[in-house]
Amino acid sequence: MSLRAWRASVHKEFLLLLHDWHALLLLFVMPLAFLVIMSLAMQDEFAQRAGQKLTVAVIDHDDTPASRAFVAAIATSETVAVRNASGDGSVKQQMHDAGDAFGIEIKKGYERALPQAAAPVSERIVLFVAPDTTRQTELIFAGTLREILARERLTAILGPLAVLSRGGAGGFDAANSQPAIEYTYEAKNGAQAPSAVQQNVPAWLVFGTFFVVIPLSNTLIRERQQGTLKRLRTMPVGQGTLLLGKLAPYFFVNIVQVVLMMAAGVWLVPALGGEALQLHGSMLALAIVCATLSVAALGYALLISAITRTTEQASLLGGAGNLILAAIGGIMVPKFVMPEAMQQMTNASPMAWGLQGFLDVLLRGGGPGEVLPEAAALLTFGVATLAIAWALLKRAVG
Amino acid sequence: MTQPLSTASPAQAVPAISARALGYRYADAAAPALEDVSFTVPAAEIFGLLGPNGAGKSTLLGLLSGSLDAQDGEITIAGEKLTKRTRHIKSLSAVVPQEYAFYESLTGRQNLDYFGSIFGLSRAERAARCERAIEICRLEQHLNRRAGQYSGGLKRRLNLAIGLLNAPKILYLDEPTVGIDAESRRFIMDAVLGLKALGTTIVYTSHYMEEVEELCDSVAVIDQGRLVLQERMGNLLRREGGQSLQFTLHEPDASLAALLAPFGATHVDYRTWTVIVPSARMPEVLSLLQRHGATFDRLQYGVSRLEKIYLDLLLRGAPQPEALA
Repeated sequence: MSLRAWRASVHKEFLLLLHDWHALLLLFVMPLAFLVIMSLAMQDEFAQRAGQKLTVAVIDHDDTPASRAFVAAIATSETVAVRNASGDGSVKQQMHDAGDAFGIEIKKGYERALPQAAAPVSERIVLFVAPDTTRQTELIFAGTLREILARERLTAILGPLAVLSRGGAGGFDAANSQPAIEYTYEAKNGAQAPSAVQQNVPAWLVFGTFFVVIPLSNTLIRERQQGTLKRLRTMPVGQGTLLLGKLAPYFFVNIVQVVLMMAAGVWLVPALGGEALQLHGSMLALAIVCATLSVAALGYALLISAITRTTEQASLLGGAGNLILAAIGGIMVPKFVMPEAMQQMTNASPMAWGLQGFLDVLLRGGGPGEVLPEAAALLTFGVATLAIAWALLKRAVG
Repeated sequence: MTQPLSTASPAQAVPAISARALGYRYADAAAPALEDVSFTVPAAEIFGLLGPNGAGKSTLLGLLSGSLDAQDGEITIAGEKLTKRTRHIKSLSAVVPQEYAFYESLTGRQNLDYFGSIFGLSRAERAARCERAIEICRLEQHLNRRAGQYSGGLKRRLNLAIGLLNAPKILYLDEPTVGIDAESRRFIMDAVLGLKALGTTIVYTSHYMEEVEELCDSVAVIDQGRLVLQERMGNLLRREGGQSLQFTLHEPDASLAALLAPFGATHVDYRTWTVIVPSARMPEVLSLLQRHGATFDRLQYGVSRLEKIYLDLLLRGAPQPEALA
């Protein structure tokens, strides 16, 4: 291989890329925009999924053993955290200021009304719902409150037999009645569900790397259409040298994309009010995932270049192909919210392998051994597509 | 003083190109693109390669330049057999394709620098070769503009300049003047003649017969993958000329149509006329034209035009060997 010719090809590809502002926007700005927007927009959704509790502001005007028992019963729930609000001022205002999902006001006379059928105790409890609390959450929480209230009422009526209803040995124990929950996606290594930024940084990063298909295919197709490739074939330079000279700059672009996206997750997203990306795990493992992901993206890009004849066809096929790979690969919709059958389908997308590799490192602190299956799959896909594309291009150019 | 691009001597005995029984068939094609094609191109001459679209010219250029591998036959370049392993032979030649085979988003200089590097030239060599090619193609004023902003003529000149970077001994020019204005065309033709004078062998394809007629020392015609003619240009024009009187007037004159009608005159734009006249009646015709007040830019008798020969050849098929003898 002629090093001089290779260096010239690399230099030429960089110049072509630098002159192509559309491609640069597509490669860097588009995934960055997705990353930031989705990380910020979905952080509440991911926070709930990740086990963060909803806060409930409670104002207890009754302040009796019964009202305190009611509040304590609410606090035993795994899904809510009780915040004792100040008795002064409206509950609504305090909820708004603190960002609570619910507010509960216990009026005076709660304890007295509890055992009486004539004065419904429900009139002594007011539930406030924040405007951004979903209807589904509201219904679940209201149902929980009804259940607690019924139990407290039963306790007040039965008196000494309270042990049957409020727990204790052989009694009704909410914690013991809780069914076991298994997260099919996040159960590995007992790790937690990803936060919005932990999901979105690697997801949109993987998505962005595959968009090298647009500039790479466009330059290659133009070279074919304008006879430049044929001219190069008549020159004393190997096709392998030319191909490596073409791919190397895009490999570098992929690495820069990864670094920029990670940096955006660490610094930009928190600066805009989101959660910061925590870089766990082995840097070597991260480098392995990056490198093999790039090989897969380049193979895909070269294959699209080889099977299309015009830049329009390549842009359409490459772009649409990326969207489909992203949709089934858990980029747009996180894998763990998909039904089981769809989760199985994600394994068909190389984007899913890349995402899984990043999550293994960033979320679960994995090392090179943990990312080996995904890296091997990406490398195999990349080498296979490169080989097919190489054969097709040789045939097309002569 | 600038150095010549090539040092080949016009008097060299070894032909620049020798092709013997070449054959090539594309995959899935019903008929071969080339079949049993043999010819030689003397060194430091311009060799015209003619033929209708799809005749096999591009395939032949591909085989000669090494971008295609011959399936049958043998090619010898400067006395050395061309095979897959003789990549260095590619260093002796260059192809200037019909397409603008360069990068339009790069400047002229960036293009020259890139293609110069592909030839494996050192920085100093590259700089010297680039300057020489720039000088020949007169691109000095345009080097820092993007090639996509060039006019058609400038693009042709850049296309040619790239082909000169390796100082080729053999230059393949595939329709180098298509789609450009008369001035740029003249410039390219003069540059081609200049390269020949420096000893470069040129294989020239074009659909413009007057160009081929003016530039080429010998000509070959390919039709349906077979070589139907190869001959020295002068011999061909004289032999096929017969009783043809051709002249080009200084100014177009439509009134000549009636005057020359008895001689079956044909014309191009009432300026270039062809008349079939037996030699015995030549004085009569010349006298007629003189009385009419015709003034000539060019006048020749017994010499045919290449275009006529070419069209006749394609219409009636390949001439019999005895007819060409």
